[in-house]
Amino acid sequence: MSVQPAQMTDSHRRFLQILMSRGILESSEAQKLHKHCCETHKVSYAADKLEDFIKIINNQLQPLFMQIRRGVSEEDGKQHYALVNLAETEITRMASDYAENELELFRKTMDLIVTSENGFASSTDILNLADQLQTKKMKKKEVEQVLHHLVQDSWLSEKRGEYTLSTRCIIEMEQYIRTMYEDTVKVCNICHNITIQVQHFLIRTLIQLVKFHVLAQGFIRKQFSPYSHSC
Amino acid sequence: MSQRKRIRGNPSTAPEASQQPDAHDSEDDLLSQAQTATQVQRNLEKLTPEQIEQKVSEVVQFILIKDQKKLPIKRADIVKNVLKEYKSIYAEILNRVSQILKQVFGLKLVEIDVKNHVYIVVNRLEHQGGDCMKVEGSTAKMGLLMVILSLIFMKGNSAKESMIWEVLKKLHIDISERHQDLGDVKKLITEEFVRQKFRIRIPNLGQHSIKKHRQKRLQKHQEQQAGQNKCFKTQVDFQYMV
Repeated sequence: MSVQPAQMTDSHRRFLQILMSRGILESSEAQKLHKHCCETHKVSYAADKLEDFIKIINNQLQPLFMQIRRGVSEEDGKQHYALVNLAETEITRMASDYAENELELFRKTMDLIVTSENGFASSTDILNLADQLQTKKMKKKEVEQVLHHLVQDSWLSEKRGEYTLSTRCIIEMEQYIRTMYEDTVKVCNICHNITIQVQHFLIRTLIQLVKFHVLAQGFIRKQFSPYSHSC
Repeated sequence: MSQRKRIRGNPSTAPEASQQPDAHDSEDDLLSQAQTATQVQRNLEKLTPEQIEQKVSEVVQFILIKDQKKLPIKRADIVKNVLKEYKSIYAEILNRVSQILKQVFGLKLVEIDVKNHVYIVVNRLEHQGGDCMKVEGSTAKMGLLMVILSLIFMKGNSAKESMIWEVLKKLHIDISERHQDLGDVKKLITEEFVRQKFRIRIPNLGQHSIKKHRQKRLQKHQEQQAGQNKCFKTQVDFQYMV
């Protein structure tokens, strides 16, 4: 059984650098990256030790108020990893690549999305926000460009002219969403995660429950069948 | 990112005398003069470990943010935006920040301008084929930069603007037209790259020279990746006969 390094090595640093560059990684990509980093720096690798690998990095990131966090995509139910900033300071506010009025537009878009029934906001509704901005008004064309950038930077997802929060956004801003929308945001009573695209989430959960039910039925049948495999 | 030659600045050394000291210089004097070991220790004792750690983490984040935007980091900005009343322990905080950048992120903080105390962040880890870094607009810009720096280097650290435009035209990059990925190419080269300290421009001569440390960086980069860069340089030489 291979022993994972307990201390931070260049394999961890490379993983962290690439995650910082990509912003978010799907679980399978994170697995491949884990393997690549361990092989590059000739450290012990085990496919099932990704969580331990990440834990070593997180131990170092914790005093810096940063963390590699895992979340589930509402689109496909797949796990993703993102590097999140846990501190809200003047410094982190400087990190924004967006102007003040663009950030205001994003916040108002988030309002629309979180308070909607299906977790989506139409492009028309978002375009109408342009006139309501307090910081600096925007033309419709500018709103379209900002939305395009937000999608490119993986803060929003777009589907058939409707916008929702991306996986990266939900992972990174979970605490903010829970605090700002405490009374509005929907939280699952089983997994306690916030859910934006409620319908998707319900369908996925139902599918999981059906699978579980079928498995359970199969298990019960096998256990108590007069034709069990042991006969 | 390639390795750059580290230019060490001793913060406890008094700065060079200038004929017209200004407010910025006098603040630098204060920072330098305050950094003797005993004084730093005394100032550190006035603060709790948590306060110091908080400031260290803020400086780390500040540097990472600036590096993300490919902008050099000035000591004056660190003091003004982050340290503020903690500037008396600047030297100690910067030491700790350097350690953290190295230990946690595999990055190196290099002082490229000792007089004005300007830093850049350099990657200590060599790029590998399977890294899969994010490909974005800045990747195209880096590609263009690589071509221009190689050109300047091959011309003995100085190349005329007209020659650069001519070579770019052969690469189907016309500076009179807006490029699909690079945008306003002329502005990118004459303003953005210059601002990011990749090149300096000598006005009125229309020449672009490469700063010494950038030259060393290019040299070192080529040494380290000899195979790839020799091939690149040969192809450029052959194709464009500059």
